[in-house]
Amino acid sequence: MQHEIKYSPAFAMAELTLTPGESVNVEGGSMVGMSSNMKISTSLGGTRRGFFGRILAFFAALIRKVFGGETMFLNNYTPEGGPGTVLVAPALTGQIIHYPIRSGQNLYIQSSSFLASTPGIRIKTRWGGLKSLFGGEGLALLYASGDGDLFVNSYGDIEEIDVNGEYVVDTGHVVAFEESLEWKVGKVGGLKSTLLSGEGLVSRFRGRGKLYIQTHNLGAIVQWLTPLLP
Amino acid sequence: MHIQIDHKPAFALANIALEPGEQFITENGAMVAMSPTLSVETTSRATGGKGGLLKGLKRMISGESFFNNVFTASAGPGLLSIAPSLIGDITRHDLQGETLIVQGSSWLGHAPGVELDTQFGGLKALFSGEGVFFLKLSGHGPALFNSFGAIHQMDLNGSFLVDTGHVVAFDEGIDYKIRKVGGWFATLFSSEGLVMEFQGQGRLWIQSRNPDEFGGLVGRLLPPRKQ
Repeated sequence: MQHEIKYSPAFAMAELTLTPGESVNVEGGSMVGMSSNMKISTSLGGTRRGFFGRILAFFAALIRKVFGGETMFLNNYTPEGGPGTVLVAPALTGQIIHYPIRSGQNLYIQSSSFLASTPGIRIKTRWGGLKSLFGGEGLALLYASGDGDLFVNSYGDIEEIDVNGEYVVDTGHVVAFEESLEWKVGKVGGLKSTLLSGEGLVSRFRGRGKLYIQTHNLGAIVQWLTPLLP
Repeated sequence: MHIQIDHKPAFALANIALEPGEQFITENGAMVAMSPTLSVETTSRATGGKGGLLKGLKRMISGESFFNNVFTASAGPGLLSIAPSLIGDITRHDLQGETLIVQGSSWLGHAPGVELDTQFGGLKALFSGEGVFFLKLSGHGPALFNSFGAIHQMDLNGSFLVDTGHVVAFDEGIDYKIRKVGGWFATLFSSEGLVMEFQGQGRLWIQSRNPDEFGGLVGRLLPPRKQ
């Protein structure tokens, strides 16, 4: 599969070109346009076969939907009878980055930042525990492992940070981070600054690895819009 | 008339320099700033020509407003700045006798040599979620249309499917129909629903963001309206 990311960073759109036999999984609602020879099939995203596997996939999808803020279904696109193109873009204004997953280089993704992945990548919902509840970012992180191409989107542009030691990020700005990083949600400072700084809770990363953060925060625009509603 | 589009693609603003007597027609509410030499007339007519009430009504159904604004450099040369309400790009297209079909909310303005009309999209457009009418731009002169997100121009030769919320404009010669994105299961559960299948040769402009999707995502996070 070939890819080209256009109109970065404000209105990024990924142009994915596939040859017969190749396919790509895309978050529901993200398709902008496609060649007419592209076939779409909608699934719950599970990898196990059989009746029991489907039941499992259903509940995994339900957890993704309820706690992860993602749609329940994944759409798989594959060209028939020749190469085909599918254009994908997220709903929010912002950037798309390509992250190749190779064995051992797994990635945690903030649940609403998943855009697309090739079939060699397994996407699982990871229960972030109570700490993510307090993070206000939904209860689930997605965990991408395997081998293939992953596309992640953001609200605003994406800043890549090489963490070596410790790094603190407002939880609403976390997009993705490598598995090698340890992660914890906590207060920004003492009780006074937690309540009055407007920063609330933050994610603390420790170790060595790449961290991707977004320049804008969806929670902030929602907060700003709310008092303006009629 | 000289048109310059600045601050592309995120915050595009069209600066239109008018010579004395020249006019420019814009979407209602698009004016950002103007010279005091310009006068504005609000009309339901397309270009001060035929139409009137019926044209205004048709335009309203197509997703545009009932009234248009006609700016005239009546007291000397002047500058008119216009911008769409959503963040995104503006594209200039100089019509040379051909006809463009424009999705209702994407039309921003045009010079008087261009005729703006409304086209009934047929029953198929009823289901597209994009209104029953498209706008039709024909004649000679510059026309401006806007996008939510970036504008992606495609030279169509064959067929291509586009999510209905991403269509901006296309050449009149291109044929289109509304169809399901796949089988019934995919149509119901893919969150992709209906698409427009374009067929033929010509230019097709699509926008990289979908206003309804953006609104839906942010809207879900807002508190319910007080009754």
